Amino acid sequence: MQGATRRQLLPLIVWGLIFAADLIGLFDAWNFRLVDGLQRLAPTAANSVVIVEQTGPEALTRDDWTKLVDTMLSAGVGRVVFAFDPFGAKDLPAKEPTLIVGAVAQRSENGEWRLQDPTSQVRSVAIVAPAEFGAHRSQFKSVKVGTRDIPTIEATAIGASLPDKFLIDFSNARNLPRLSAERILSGQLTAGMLHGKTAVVGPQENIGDARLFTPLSPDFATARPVDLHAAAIQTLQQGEAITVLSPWANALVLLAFCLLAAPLYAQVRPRRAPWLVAAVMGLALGLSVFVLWAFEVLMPSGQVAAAQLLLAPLIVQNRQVLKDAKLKSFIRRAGARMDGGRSETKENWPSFAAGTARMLGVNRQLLLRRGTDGSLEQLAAVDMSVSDLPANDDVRRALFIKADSTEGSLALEHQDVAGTDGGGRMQIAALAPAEAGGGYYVYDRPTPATTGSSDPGEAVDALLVRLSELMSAASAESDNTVNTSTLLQEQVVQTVERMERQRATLAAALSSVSSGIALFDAAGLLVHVNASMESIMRAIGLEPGRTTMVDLVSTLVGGDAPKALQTLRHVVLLRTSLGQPTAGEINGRRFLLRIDGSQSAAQNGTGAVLCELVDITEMSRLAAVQRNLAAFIDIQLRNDFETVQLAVRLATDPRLEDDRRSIAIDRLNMAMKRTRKKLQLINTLLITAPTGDPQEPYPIDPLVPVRSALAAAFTNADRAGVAISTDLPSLAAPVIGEPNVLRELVSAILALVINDSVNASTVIFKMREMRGHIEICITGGSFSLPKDRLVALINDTSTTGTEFSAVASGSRSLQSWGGALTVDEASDGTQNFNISLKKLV
Amino acid sequence: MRILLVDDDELLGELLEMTLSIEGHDVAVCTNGADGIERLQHDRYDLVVLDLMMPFMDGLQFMRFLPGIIDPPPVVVLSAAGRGDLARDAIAAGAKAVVAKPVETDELLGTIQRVLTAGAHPQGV
Repeated sequence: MQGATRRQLLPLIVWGLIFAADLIGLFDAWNFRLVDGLQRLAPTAANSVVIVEQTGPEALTRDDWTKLVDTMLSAGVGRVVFAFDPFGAKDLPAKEPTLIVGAVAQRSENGEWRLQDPTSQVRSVAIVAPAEFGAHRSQFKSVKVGTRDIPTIEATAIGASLPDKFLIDFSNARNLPRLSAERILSGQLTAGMLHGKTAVVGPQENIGDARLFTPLSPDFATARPVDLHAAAIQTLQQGEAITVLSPWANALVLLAFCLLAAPLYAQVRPRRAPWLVAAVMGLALGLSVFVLWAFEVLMPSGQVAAAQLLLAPLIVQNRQVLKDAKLKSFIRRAGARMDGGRSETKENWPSFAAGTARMLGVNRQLLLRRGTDGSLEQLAAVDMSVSDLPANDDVRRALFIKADSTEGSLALEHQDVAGTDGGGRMQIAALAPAEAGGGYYVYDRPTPATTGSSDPGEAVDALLVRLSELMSAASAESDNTVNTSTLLQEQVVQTVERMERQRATLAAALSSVSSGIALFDAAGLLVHVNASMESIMRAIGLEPGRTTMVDLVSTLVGGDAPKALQTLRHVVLLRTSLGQPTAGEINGRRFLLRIDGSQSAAQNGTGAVLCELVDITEMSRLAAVQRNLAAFIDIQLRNDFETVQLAVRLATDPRLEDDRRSIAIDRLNMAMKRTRKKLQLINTLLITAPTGDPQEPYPIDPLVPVRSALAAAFTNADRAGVAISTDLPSLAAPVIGEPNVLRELVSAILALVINDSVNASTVIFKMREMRGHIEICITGGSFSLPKDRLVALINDTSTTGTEFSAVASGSRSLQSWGGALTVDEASDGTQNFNISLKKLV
Repeated sequence: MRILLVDDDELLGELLEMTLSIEGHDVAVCTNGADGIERLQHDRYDLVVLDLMMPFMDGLQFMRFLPGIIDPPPVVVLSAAGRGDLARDAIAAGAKAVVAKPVETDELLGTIQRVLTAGAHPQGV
């Protein structure tokens, strides 16, 4: 995806993520806490409701309750609301709407509302809406009882249009006055106590009656249903009911914030981004408080805040990547044209040649030039000298004549060079024709084993051609017989001029790139470094002026110089780029070191190499966010599965009575529904690679890469006449890993096993979830290698390009993710590959 | 034995109640810590099975109220896997055992039996 397109999609991606999280109620707790906090801070207003309860030990009769109503009406009460039905189902006093009687209805486990007395004919219900995040904080306008939509006593009492669900304002309900029914019946009413107020009457309290938590708990911890009804009615009478927006309305508000904030994040400087995030979050919070206060509507402030925390770093980082891309492209092109930098020219070129050869894996080398007097001048040497060549002048001359007449290089015998066992590794190549004076390069031809990578022959041949050109140019210059019309000399002059022109531009460009960049020539000597990299170099104890590429890589990545040299040879010889995380934090930040030899090497095998330090601190942080989110989902799912398992166990337990068994089966259905709902959201929340860096593991669904590897393996197996039998779970817990690396590892093992299986045999692929890990077992028909040799091969990371090396590389990644690859041998000699992947939780 | 189960997941609570009942225990269920404390003030229980992660009054707060109860029963704590810090705090606050959530029934039943036995025979016989 192009950076600009990605930038436009980022707000939508973040919006989608937060919306998905909102659907499972991740932000409700935060939003409700905001309301709770405001309620706690709100001043207490005058009460318009009085709670009436029976406090005496003797239950009041129907006549008592009728008398109570009459007494209160005569005392001027505005309205009497019963939160239960003491009058009997079919014989209500005809005093509505002044008298409202609610039949108690309760919610069954499957969410249906049922009247406590199914024969009740009352027109209102007294219900307690389910608790949300541990507190009873809302009330409905009406509920469906069977086929009837019956209003709640609160809706009947207020008689106005209401939202389907509203939040109760408890700030005014802390000190609602209470009167006992017995006191009213005995006529001990103070004048004006009930005048114009609404009396909410509750039933006799029994020991063991449930206490309800409210948002003001523990201050209001012992609320009974009548307290909630009284608080709800007072909330409605005072116009303080808070409307809860639907998830879709929340989504629209969230989308507006994402789309409005995204252009701001695209403009702000990275260092100021946190302040902008704080400002946007503050604005969202302020707006939420204002809307709540002025319009009694609960805004999705939690969702907006979370979206900003995700959106800002993503956009800032994406913008930085876009900004850097152009400059880096220019720098790479410029680096490629520099043909190795300043050390390739004039008097420095022999050192450049030696350095470059060392980079290519040439351990011994000798660069000779014939002087005007015919004597040989040693220009550069590594681990050998001219004295290692035959001392006898005739023998030596014969050797040079033979080299002059050979195109390319000539293999030397052991008697030709001291300190070698022959075998054709030591070579000699004529670099300049004899008539031009002559020059020779004696070297130890590197092998794949010495370089630790592919055949370096091509790169060395390219180096020889380049050395020939440079030697000719240098000879011409020193003889002061420059023929400026020759193409070669033109190239040298142009290279120097171009290099000088580019140097200033390059320095300016490098300094404006945010990541640390250092440009090295093919000999590994520093050509240029930008301010950011210079600062990092000093922070890790390197002096930029004296730092080679090997020094930089070994210090940043950790490990010794030979290992770093091997890595760099790999880059130069394969004309590729690679990334490695730095060994630790630098100035509190985490970096990825990218070494890029792809552009420069394409020229002639001896060009510049770019080392870049990419700050991955934010990416790591985002990966941590994803890990936490996935961990949360995993725990939730595990709980649900355990609930299902528990219900299954109960339903099949012969000791359970039949009526309880049917309840257990009902609960099993509920548990499965709950689990299925969460599973549907998993795909949305388990996001693909946040960084694309194989060294940066994160929670993944292992089934995805495994299925992908199997799909490819089936084709190979068909071709080889081998069948694959698979046994995969339909669902797997998230594991720590990187999907591309895991897919390549499984593919490589399958390829090994299929290639080694006899025709018409079956490869068995099993995946099992264990307590702390997921295990993949791959078994073939046979394996021709002894186990010890097989284990050695799949642990050898020094080779490349084979299935064994791919397995070795994957195995190393696997270990860094907390997993392991093992091989065991069955009694019949069959060998099993076992991949263990660490589960997230 | 009389067991008080305190867990805000009502569905899991009900299933655990049925599971413990068929094992012969008399089980009461509360969905929050405050209700649990109130129950303990009014009735006597032999054991409390307590979820740690609950809103408003979590399991650790519940444990802090326990010393105020006369003859408080032993507590078996249910703690989410990966929250070893909470489990350690619960043990420090006086819990007798910790069972990791998701709850494995056999493990829970075994732990309850062990704690009840230890309570009846302080020498661990």
